[in-house]
Amino acid sequence: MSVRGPNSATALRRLMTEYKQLTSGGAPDGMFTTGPISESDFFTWEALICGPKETPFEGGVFVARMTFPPDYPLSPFKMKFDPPLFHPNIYPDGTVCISILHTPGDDPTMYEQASERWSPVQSVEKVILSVISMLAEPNLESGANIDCCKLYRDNKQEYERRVRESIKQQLGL
Amino acid sequence: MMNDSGSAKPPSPPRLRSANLPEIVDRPYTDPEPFLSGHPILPEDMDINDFSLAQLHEMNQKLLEESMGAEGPLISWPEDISALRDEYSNLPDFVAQINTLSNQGYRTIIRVKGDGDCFYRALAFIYLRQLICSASARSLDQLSATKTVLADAGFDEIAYDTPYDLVMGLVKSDSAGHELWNTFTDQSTSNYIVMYMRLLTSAHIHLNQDFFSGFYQNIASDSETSNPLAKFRRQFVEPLGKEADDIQVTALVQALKFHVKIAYLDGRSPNGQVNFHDFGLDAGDAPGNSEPPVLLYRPGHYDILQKDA
Repeated sequence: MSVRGPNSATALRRLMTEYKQLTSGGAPDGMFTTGPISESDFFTWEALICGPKETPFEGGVFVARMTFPPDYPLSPFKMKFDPPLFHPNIYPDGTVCISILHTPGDDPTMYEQASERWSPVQSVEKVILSVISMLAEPNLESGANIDCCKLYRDNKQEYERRVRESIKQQLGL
Repeated sequence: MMNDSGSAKPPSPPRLRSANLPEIVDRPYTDPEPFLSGHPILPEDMDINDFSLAQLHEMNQKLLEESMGAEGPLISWPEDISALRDEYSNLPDFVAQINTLSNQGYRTIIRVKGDGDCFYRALAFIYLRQLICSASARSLDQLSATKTVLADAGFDEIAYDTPYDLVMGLVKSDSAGHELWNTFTDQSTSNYIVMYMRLLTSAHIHLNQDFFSGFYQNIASDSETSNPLAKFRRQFVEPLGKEADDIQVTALVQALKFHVKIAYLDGRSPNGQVNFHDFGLDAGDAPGNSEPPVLLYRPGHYDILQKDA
């Protein structure tokens, strides 16, 4: 295994358990698949997420990379779409900004106090499901891509067109 | 220290006076800043009674922060209680209480880092130490019963399995002394133990909602959510770094079926008397043969107190 100090054994065990559970149970409705990018690094995962139906993201398949801290699940992981998605709650570099990936003390936008926060009872599966519903319903109060927030608010049709356009490009259509 | 004993007190700033208003402050107002911004050393011409309750509280918090600095270990090696007394040497009401504890035989303090997890860490330490020392099949049963609590509360197995295995492994490893201390000073292992205690606390509150919703109304009144207790657990029990209030203390002690005494060091009791509160002992229960372990509570912080080093 990669060098992460002697103390990440618990994190590793937890990640293996989550992976086992995900592969045996399968994702609900086949909305996503996820797992470590290689057997030598259990602390970096990749997810393939299907764009939710009846949203402009429908038809797309999006790749996100998740990086886990050595003290997972005490601290949350980070999630980044690569290539980045055009979405109000995704930074232009692709990093996902969602309350469930923030600890209660860490509130960059100050709008998330009432929402679900990271705690060790969360999991990769729960986070990805939250991200999928975030794709369908952006949260404009805690925007990460300001231009996208504005466009979504002022001209939703154009926002949806741009999202569909980017998916077509991605699929090479 | 800061002034010669003969020097005059600072002049009192002009104040509004009105014959119609009762005189509330009968002492000249003293600006708290010079004392509170640094180490709270009492100038020789000032008495502890010159400070308002709020100022005393602030000084105590300051001492707490220094006494439990960010640099210290998660759990200290046992220290003589005189070290604590020295820190409070300017606060006679605290010194009197510390002397009382010392006279009762409580001569050793194990300090726990003030990072919001101190209650959970302190309780886990004395609980596991007791389980390991009693070294019986019964203690293993007791611990595995806590796993059932988590399952009954509907937690996902992945959330508690790994920390449970870690805690169980610790008890089976039978390492009470130096090794247990080592375990608790290792940041990530120690925090997984705290995490297990937090999940257990949350589960116990969930399974005893009727009992705990009474507590909860005193802590916050958030009637907007349909299940305020669930929100409370998610925000103030499960995440690391959130301090424990009475509700969490009661819940965890009950969930572990443990008995602990908490000594209140608050500098506010006459004659240096220290109040001890029993947790986890029902009114009808006879106290056990052996004395329960003791936590030392200072407002906002928990340490471990014991009679022998």
